[in-house]
Amino acid sequence: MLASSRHLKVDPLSNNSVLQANHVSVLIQDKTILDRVSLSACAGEVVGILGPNGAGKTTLLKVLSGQRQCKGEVTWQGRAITDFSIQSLAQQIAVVNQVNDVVFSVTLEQVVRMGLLPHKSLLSRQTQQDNLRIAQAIQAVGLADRKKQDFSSLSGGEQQRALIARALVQGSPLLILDEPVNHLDVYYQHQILQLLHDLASQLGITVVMSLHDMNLASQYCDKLALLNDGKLATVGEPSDVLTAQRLSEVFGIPCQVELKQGKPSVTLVPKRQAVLDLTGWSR
Amino acid sequence: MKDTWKWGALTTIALVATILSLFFGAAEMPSSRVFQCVINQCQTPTDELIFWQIRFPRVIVGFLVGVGLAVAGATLQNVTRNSLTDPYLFGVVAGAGLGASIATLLFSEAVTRQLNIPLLDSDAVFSIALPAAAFLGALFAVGLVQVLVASALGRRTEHLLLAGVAVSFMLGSVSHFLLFLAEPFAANKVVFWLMGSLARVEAWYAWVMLPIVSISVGLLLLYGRHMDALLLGDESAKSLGVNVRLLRMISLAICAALTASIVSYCGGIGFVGLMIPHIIRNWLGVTSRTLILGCILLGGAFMVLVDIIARVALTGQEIPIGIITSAIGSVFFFLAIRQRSA
Repeated sequence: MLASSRHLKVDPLSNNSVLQANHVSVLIQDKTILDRVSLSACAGEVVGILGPNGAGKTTLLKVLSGQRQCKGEVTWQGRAITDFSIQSLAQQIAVVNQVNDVVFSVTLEQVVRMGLLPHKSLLSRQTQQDNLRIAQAIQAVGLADRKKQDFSSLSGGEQQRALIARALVQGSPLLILDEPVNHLDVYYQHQILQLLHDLASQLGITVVMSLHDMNLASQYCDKLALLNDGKLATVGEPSDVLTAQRLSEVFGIPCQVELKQGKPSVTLVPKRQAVLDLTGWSR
Repeated sequence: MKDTWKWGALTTIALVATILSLFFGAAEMPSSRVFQCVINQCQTPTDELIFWQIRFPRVIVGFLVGVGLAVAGATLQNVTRNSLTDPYLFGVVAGAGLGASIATLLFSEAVTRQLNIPLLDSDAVFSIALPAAAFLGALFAVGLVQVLVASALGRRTEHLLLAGVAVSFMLGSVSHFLLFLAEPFAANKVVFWLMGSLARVEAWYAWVMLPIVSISVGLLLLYGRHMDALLLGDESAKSLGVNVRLLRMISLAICAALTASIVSYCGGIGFVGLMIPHIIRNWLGVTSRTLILGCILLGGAFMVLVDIIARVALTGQEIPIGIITSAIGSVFFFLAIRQRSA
């Protein structure tokens, strides 16, 4: 398994890419959210999307997962994603978003079971195999002892892992995640990203996610795309993308980049000038 | 299934309630003779008539009404992700009521005489026109809610509920206006719908309602997995391959059909669609298929039991069943709120 997936990722610049976005633009009420962004990903590759708030990261992810219409074209395995039916698209692409409006007390196991949906017709029954698959997925993300627990009572990291287990059951070769390590403590940040990295290297799943932490992105991603104001500032390997000059430009904070264990490590050097303007304000 | 005993208990309650209900009614009929009818054959033709033409259909219709209201409530709640939704709040009952009111007024004897329409067989026409008009009214209400929601931006569920309440009051006021204008006899009939009753149930109601309720519930059970995907929100459901808009429209139309068939024959019966799903959700779980199956058993049993109260509480007359369900329901929710805040 491992060998074959390595085989898949030989040449990231060749036409080996399974996911391709060509000059994708999104306009909302005359405001340009995405401006001719092109991006590609190979099977088994982990792609991180970086950029300031409002740069268009979430919109780009929605476009890539086919949840949002755009100008330009997104193809998955050579076929435009607009050609897929909504169900077959769900068989190809799993999406993990932050979930924050759970109303009824649905259990972790029931959430993971939802992953079966794209593979079931209205009449088909749940089989023993399905149950096994669900149990294995929960086991894989290390939540076997929590499966009967109320989903909303789980911690942020556990919810995130539960949704990844759901994506595993869904069995889609492309996994798209919007800020999967937001609100997580440092331990879970690394655990989740390692898990995603494992999925890519061991199962050949293509992972595309948005991230805020540049050092995490540097450590766990094969390819990075830096978005700024709806435009693709740069795309490539972490060492090409994470340069002091470019990051300072995009984020507006001076920074230093050094190589640690062969990977770029970013240290921000803020100017420490007061930003709170209290002119005319009295306590 | 570890909840086997719970399902067993629910089934037992449903069966016992149904059988028990056969022993109560306006007509004098000792329980020994009812028992004869149940297990073997009625002893006299009068017994036969009372049992098979009055009591048995009434129990069946009562059960179906409970099933329909509880399942419609549960479905609307899961689809809108709001535990306070029910056919009432959604304008569906008001719409069905308006349709039924219009049909009644149009087909009332005075109107038909005035317009000089030859009475084909007014009863037969009426029996079809009534539920059809109620269904159209319910669909109209659903459509109106959808139009209102479509014109709103932002959070959908809240807008859906607000639109539902607005449409409910609007159609309700139209119904009441018609009632105000109409002659006393027709008004009497409209009052009956507003309060809800099983007193006018006729044997053939059961045969019209049975297919409507079973097909609707069957369809909803088929879409159970899709509705479950909505539990984590619209986006999550879409990413799992659910056509959320279509699913909402299908389930709304099915709920409209269920509610219309109930409202047109038995009037508006409140709180069942709110209370029964609430109980089942806490007791058995939130996934749609579990919820629907639980609502079938408990909703049916509840309605049949309430109908016993309606028949025996006051000697010599019946209490409209909607009054009892609303009374029980409001007390239930008062307790539920206290429990939750404690």
